[in-house]
Amino acid sequence: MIDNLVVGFGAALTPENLLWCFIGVLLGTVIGILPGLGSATGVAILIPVTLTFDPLTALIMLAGIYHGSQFGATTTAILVATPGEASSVVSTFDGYRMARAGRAGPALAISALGSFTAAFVALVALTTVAPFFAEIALGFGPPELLAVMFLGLCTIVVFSGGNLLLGAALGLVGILVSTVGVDVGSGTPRYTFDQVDLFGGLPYVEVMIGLFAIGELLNQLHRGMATPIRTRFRDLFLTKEDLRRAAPATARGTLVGFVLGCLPGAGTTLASFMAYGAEKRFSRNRDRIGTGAIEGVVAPDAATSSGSNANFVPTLVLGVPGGATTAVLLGAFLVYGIQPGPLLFENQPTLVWGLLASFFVGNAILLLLNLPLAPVFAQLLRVRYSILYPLIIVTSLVGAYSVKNSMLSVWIVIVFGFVGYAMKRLNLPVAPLVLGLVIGPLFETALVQTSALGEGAVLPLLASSGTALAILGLALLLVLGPLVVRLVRTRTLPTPERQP
Amino acid sequence: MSGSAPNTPGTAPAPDRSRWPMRVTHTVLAGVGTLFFLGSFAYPWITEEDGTIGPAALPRVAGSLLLVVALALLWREERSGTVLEGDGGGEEPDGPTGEEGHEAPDEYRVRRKLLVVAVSLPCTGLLIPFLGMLPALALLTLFLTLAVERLRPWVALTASAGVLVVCYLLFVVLLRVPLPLGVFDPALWGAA
Repeated sequence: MIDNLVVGFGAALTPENLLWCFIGVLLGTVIGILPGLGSATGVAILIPVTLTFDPLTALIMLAGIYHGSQFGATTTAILVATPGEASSVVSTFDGYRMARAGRAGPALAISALGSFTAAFVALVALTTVAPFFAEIALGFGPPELLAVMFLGLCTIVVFSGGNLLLGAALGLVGILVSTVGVDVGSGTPRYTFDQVDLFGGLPYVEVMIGLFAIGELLNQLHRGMATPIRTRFRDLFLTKEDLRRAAPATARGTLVGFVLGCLPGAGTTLASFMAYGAEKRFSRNRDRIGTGAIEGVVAPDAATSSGSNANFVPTLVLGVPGGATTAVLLGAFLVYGIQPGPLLFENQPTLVWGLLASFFVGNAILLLLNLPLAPVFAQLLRVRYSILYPLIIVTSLVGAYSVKNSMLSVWIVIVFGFVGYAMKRLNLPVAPLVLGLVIGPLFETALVQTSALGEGAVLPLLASSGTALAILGLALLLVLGPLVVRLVRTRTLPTPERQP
Repeated sequence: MSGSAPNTPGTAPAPDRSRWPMRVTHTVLAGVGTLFFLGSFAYPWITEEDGTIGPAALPRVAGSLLLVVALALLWREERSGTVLEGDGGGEEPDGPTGEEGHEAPDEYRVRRKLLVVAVSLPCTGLLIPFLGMLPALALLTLFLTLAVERLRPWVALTASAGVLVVCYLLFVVLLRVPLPLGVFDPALWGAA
């Protein structure tokens, strides 16, 4: 392993590769900051630029864009509640609240630090246990993935607050909205009203921009203009207490992200939501999650970071993309004449280990760039909201348009902006809706594939898989656990009538 | 999302004020469930070719579940009207009477501004095909900063010009996104 890492770092640390890694990370951060574009689009747009490069240099730059955009997306999610991509939606929950409380600097810094730590741990895990995880991932067929998606849907419980029924209803709305478009199994257009633009479905990125960015903006206008936030110099930096609280959350987020990232198709969005859910369940400060707690910022960001690295396990070892961006990167591999698969590690060790080492280098550059810049970025909140909100509208609309180069995206942002505003005024939880929307298509794909595998029967296949049953058991525990605890508490607490 | 609603599920007393926003919300949810449920009958439950789950399955199951859950919410609302976490019930936990971090607003002015901004969004959407995306958005920025926010003209003009230039450089030059050009499309004038 050490030899491989030496070879990898030797390849990644050449001046040329270092320069392109830096450019990739920087470009990625800019792309991530722009709402809507996201890492997959950013990588796809910039593949043609790298065609004349050496394959390793090209892949290092594209991987840099991938990592940079993940971080850039979190920056705007924290500062102005405008997530650059789906995986950074969760960062708005606590990150934005920290920012509004004058702690944008620590939120951004802990995000960078957590992402770096997770990337480092994921790199070590990738180099040591990638083949082992690839074997596990190979054992994950459609029934197991269906169980994972069901578990993902069950995390709605965590995001529902005390009103499980309402959370479930909004999650179901998300699933239903995700069924608009061509059906994954038969290719039948559903609820499209013969509109070709709707064949691809209602894109969740645009829905998310509307719900969060425009919804929050209208809400701020309703509440009276947010005053510029001026913070004390010392509040711009992390404290020992912040670091102490962030450490276990980072560990949990990294673990959740790595495990889910290894699964083909699970992506980083699910990882970030589940890491947040894990914090709400297991964190010492779980009662403070959702009110601007540092654990709620660092855990999902660590999950996203380790998940995005772990996405390369199925991509490199199996030739199966782990998520949307790695699917684009897989295309890039083929463009450069590289065939991912089990033999890649043996046939092209310099390329594989160089690429893996570049993840570490890229994340180190991100940390070096963003840790000192976090207090500078935080100064954005000093800009008067009367100037800031028109800029948020403009970047949201242009960013949404550029996802599919379609005016439909702009209208989706506007319509869901009003929906998001209404939800905020009614204090309805937005997260279950987004979760349903993101996991809905993944769930249906796994359902159809399981059904195809079982020749129409789903349940016998699920019942025959021990892994699937264990995951389903975990899901049931997640849903029923809190209900049981509440029931026990109600029975053990004295009722007011019994009190003297 | 929890807002300031009491975290005492099922035990908080029914508020005196009307809870019509929650009734409307639950009715809309029931309506959405019904629409998707009924709409699913246009598609097969099972794909004929291979017997796998068809396009109707998920919307029918999820639609019917949503209908049931929404009816349960309505029933609970009518029965107890309790305020639960994540359910403000139309309460306004954070405004508009002013709070920390927010300017104490003049309610009429705030509502008017909100309405103007809300209306200007679809108006901009309608203008984009004619004016082109960047000019339309620059115009929106100018309108919001100058007419709505009453900023000084040079500040408003600088912000609008900045939006135009930065978006052009980022989206058109760097990322080569083919933004709508509207009347500024050279092809339009070339054809004429």
